[in-house]
Amino acid sequence: MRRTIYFDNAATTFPKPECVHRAVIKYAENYAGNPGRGSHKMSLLSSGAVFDVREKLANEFSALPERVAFTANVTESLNMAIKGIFEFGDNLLISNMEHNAVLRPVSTICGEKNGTYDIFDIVHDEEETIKSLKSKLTRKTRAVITTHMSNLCTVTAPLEIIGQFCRENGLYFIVDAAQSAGRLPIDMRASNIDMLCITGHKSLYGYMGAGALIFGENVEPAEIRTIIEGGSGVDSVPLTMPEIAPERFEAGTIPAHAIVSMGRGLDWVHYVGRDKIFAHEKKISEVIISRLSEIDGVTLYGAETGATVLFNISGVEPSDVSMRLSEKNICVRSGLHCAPLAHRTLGTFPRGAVRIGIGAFNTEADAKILCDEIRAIAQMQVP
Amino acid sequence: MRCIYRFPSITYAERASRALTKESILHKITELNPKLSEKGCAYGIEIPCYEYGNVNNILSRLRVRYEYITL
Repeated sequence: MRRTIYFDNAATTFPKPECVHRAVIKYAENYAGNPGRGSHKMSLLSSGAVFDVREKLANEFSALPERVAFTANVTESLNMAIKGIFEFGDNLLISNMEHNAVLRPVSTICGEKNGTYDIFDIVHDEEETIKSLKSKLTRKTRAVITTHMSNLCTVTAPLEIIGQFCRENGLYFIVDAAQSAGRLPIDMRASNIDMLCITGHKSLYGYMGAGALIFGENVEPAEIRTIIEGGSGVDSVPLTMPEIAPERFEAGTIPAHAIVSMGRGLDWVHYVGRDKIFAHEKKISEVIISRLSEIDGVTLYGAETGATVLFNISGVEPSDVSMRLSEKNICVRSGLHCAPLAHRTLGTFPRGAVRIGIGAFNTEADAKILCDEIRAIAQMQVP
Repeated sequence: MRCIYRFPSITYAERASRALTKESILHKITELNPKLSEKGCAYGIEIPCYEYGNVNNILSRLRVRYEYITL
């Protein structure tokens, strides 16, 4: 049987670089005490390892290390950000490309606290994007929340101009960078980002289990309501969480092994070159788009080069396509990708589509095999 | 006498520790007796007392919150 060809890197990147495994093993075997929970040698070494990652992330995104709060994943980060700033009767603005990691907490908090939300359009023309935002702004708007890079296609939000808009209008700017952290440059200061939500296991090439909520310098952590409370390692007497970040937002033991993996993954991204990896992914997508566009019955959505390619085959359900590819040892993901709103925007709701998620370790040879198999599926439909 | 800088959390203590290491100042991170603060547990950095002036300068540049205590 053919080796597995993995094209589901938008869900999680695979494989992870060897140095990531080595770093985690070294940590696990030598000094994995509970960070921030004591002053014995192993706890302090572990705290040091975690702080190293805070510093790396702070440097990567132009933030301060003590404003990097670790979470379990980007969804947790987004929930903490959105629910942490929301006041009764507020309005939120979200983009038309949002994942349920944004849509569901927004919908829930609006339902619970008599709030409202509106959807603005991210379009290729930046001025049109701002125009759409302006048209939705109300006196009650508290924040703009946007994905940086869609999990379905190559749509990317213009962070700098949206951030400028937020600053001018006194709004919080919350960014879901699940797909872009480690893939695109993000400068929180230049883009006026108040809360950046990331995950470690995608384009930062770490393990599943750790993400981060990173606060900009204009945010006062004590003003952000906590949604999870518990042990923080400091200020243990009061019944509320500490006022300072990051401990205010890190109730309970943090996922230190996954955090260490994220730090080493980021090192690896820099060693190889962030831009170089993305250029490689674009090159692979170019091969895929060029081959798929020649196949009768294949429709491509938002077909520009990038880290994902979204398609359907006429007469075949997306889930059948992914199942048939799986039988050939090829991993892709079909359905709505937890992003029904984005699928509506692309015109692929409710059927969904098949997503090819490209990563650093994919090769042109992989891409050609994938396209040959898709061609074979499409040809089975020709009468 | 022990000379200690108290920080709001281990994260701030770590940040201060990196800065002191860069300046080759001997120090160690320590968990403080909860009785020292109304709020309970806290972290600090213990230094040789003669480094007080140098450490003050370094921490001021870092712009982190701290409190100097002697025990």
